[in-house]
Amino acid sequence: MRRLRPIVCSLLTVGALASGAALNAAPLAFVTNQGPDNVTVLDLESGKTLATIAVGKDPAGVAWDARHRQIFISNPSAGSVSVIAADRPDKAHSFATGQSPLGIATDPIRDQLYVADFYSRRVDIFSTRDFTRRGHFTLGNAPSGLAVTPDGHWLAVANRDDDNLALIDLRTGQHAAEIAVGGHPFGVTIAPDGNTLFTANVTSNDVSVVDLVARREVRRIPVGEAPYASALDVKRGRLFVTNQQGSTVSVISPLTGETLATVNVGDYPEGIQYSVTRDRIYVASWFDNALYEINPESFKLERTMACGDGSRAFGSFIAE
Amino acid sequence: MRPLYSPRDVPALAEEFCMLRRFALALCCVLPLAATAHGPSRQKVEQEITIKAPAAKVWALVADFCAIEKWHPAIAKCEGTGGNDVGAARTLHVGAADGPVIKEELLIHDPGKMMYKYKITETDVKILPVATYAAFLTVSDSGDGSSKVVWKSAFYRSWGKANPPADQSDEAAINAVTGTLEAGLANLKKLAEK
Repeated sequence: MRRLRPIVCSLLTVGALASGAALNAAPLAFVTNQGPDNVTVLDLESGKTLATIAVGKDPAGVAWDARHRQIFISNPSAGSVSVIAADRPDKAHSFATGQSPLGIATDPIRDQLYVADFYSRRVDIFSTRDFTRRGHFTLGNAPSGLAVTPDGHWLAVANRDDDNLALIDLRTGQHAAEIAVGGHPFGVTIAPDGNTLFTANVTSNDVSVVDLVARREVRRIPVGEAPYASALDVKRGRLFVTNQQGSTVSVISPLTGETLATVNVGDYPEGIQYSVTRDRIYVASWFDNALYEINPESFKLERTMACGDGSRAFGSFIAE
Repeated sequence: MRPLYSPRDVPALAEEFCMLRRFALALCCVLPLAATAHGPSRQKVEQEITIKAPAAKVWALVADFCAIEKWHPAIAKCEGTGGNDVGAARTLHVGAADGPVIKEELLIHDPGKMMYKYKITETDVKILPVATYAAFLTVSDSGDGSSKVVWKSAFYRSWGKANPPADQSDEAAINAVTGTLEAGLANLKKLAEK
């Protein structure tokens, strides 16, 4: 347990640096709407809907590509990914993937997109320039959430049905480790220092805190019913976790395992993200078709922005 | 600035962590067959009905977890344990007393809000091809002597792999749930307006 201290201290330092480098433009949220097969584009300053863009069937995952200022959307029932230009969000271009793309993430240092194929035990690699397929990694059962460390060294993938986290070395393309976590890990969040990772474990109702250097789970923190994904408030070092069946967001301290608050939101909260620019937490409610804004200091739900039917926003859905 | 953590908490936290792990391991051994594999897209069905009867009267008809055998036309018999406590169970016999069985568990029972939430713990895919199903049943006062009942459910299709057969597709699951909710609410209206 002792080694957790330096890890989380550096986590907070890197977070503070990141927040100083924020862009001037208003951050935008790209919320996937499963029912109408589209994406709601929200200006997070004004709270206004800027556009609604048609994508593929049952859109779910979102990945912000800061290198090319574009947003990728996974369409699990269409076997495709759609891409939207963040500075001109008026239409989407789609390209074919495997049969069930769900979790999706971009590489911070390479022109690459990683797409977890839920039924195929695979993560496909696509170019973020011309969207061609570059290869794939073989994963475990039901690969779900995924994330890349900020230095571009490691790709972490939750093998949901294997209750573990796979670690792939992106420099060598080798499968480096499988780390046992809680029951059915789904969403994956990596701290800005790249050393600490969190999985939301759907069936064990907890969050695993994983030390990526030691390659082991160092803590298990209980949260609400059927946790789905998490977001790290990098300013304060607190983790916000959506509880699908609890209709709540748990606010926990990864350091002490303490629950600081339980925030009531709409039913089936799914995607969640912290905006550095806004210093707010954003949560999509799948049943209530909305994006909520939570104040990370007071834990108050401050704003509700209407989205389409079945809002999911699974992944990094804020362009900033 | 507050300290990031207090060193004296560490042994206690470590112990708590180990206990949690043992507990989790024990649970895994007890519940090996929980069906949790499912596809990537959860589905929802929400039905509501306006009833010309006060909310308190309607709630009285549905409040007991096992009262569903009295107001839902498809449920021939309900065997319940645990009353209306969280964790209470009901076994529903569909169509006839010896018909197919669906087992459910009570998650929330809130008479103040006239709402309960439950989940399906065991289904028969021939009649209800769903997985990880949970639903809320809520009665609200419309203010003019009438009431509104909302039944909202979320679930995955029962087929946990790609390419489902037609009778276990998303559409089949949605149709089965829609039919179940509609039939229940229509009959509840009939009973309450008598």
